[in-house]
Amino acid sequence: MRATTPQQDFIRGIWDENPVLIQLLGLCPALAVTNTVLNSVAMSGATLFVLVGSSLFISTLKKIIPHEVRISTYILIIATFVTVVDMALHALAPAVYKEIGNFIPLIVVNCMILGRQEAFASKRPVGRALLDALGTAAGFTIAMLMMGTFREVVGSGTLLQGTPWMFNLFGPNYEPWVVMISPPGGFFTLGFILLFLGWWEDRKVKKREIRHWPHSVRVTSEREAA
Amino acid sequence: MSDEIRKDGGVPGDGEERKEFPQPEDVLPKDFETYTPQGGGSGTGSGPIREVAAVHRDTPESGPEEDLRQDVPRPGGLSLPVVSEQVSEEKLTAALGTPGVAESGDDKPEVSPFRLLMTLGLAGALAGALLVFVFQWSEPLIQAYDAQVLQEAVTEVLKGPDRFESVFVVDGSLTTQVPEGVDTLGLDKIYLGYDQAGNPVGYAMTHDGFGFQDLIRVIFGYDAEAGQVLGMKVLGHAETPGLGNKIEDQPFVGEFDGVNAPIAGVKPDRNTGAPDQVDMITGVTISSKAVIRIINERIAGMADLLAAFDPPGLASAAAGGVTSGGGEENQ
Repeated sequence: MRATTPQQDFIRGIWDENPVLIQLLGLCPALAVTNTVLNSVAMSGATLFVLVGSSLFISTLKKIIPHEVRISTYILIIATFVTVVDMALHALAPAVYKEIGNFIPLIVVNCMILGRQEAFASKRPVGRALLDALGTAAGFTIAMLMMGTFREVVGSGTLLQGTPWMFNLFGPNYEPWVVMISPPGGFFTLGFILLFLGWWEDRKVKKREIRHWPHSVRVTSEREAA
Repeated sequence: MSDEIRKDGGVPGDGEERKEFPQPEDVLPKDFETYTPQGGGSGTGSGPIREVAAVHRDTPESGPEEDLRQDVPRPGGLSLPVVSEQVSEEKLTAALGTPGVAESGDDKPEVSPFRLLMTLGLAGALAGALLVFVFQWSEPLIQAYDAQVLQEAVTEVLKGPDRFESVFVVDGSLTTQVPEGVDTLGLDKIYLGYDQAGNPVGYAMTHDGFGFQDLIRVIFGYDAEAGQVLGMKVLGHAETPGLGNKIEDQPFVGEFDGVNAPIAGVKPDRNTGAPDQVDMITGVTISSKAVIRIINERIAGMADLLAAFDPPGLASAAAGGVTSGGGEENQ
């Protein structure tokens, strides 16, 4: 395993190894509940709680969890945190729960969370696991907000719908692109975001190749080199 | 001497990664001098191994192993390493660990099944205990919210009754008094609203049925004597956003105020003004028809029961002492 600094542990998950946009993990919530900003934020918050809680727990207990039953134990710990979130959200924010409640239990099978436990928290000190979980959750939140903002603005013509700060962006004559707040819109949005990011990365690499020519014509991207 | 060379030849930033692994000095015999090739060690994590291997590969003058035992001065100030003990690749790998390969379960001692069982059992028990606490905290809040939603809905469809109480369907008849030993949770129930004078104003009934995509759940107020729907509210649906969800909006919901049952859904331009006609939404025909069908079904199903039921009026209401929001007590 590569050695990393604490800063790297935290920063890495936010963009360079963004769970949704780069690793393409956790796509179920990213597609299903990002039809408004409020839902995206609620889902991100729930995921953050589960990720941080289970990372701390598993990193603390890594020495006493036998290797043979580690996955079952991780799932048990994750499922417990998810159930806590499920009940808490139902009790504290029933209106939001009505919208995204069906998808909260599915956090258990979000491979982003189990992946961080198996790849990081179960091998690293507690502090590092906390930083990693926070970074990954932040990256997840950024991706969710990107999708949620775009889908709500285009699909409903509003911003922060369902909160006291809601405002209408395009006036009453705007005909919303209803497809964007329905499930196909999630696929469209994610597809276009990934397309843009791929184009951006490609462009960066090409620019660097031109700058370095003729000394090194072939320059791999940072991600490939890493 | 070897230290100086490494300082010059080392790549910046390499030192941090080397900390991960034992330095060659720790592993090799004391009199083994390492040779770091200039510009070598690209920092892929296998630095030390490559450096040792380079002794044999990259020094063109190096002959057979025996020759290296003599410390011959070299032209560039370099001295060839003195190998007093054969250092095999396997031995180094064993001492350094294989970089990039995580610890696997193979080299760990066997864990007894009892310990596995205990770990999972204990984790499960702790998780269960935690969830009990959270459940005890959250359940009253959830129930209070549900009761509040129900009360708001009943108040809305009965046009603001003073209070309401639950009426249960027990053994094919309606009653406000549930016999002992019958669980109220499994019973079908409707809500009877009263005005301020204590006279019944109508029943609020919930029902669900299939819409365009999924179940639509509706609550409506019904005045059994006049055969008139008082009001309607959609409690839950999964219709198409932008189309089917218009069944929640006021223009359509308002159509149900004071309409005669059974309701007939008509296109807006065919509405003759008859008291049983409701305008359906253009383009939302299936969802509109579904709502009307759900209400008609429920009224038809309850008609006999309602006709046989004598609503407790002033007297029993006073005796029962049911106060505003009494419906919650019966849940």
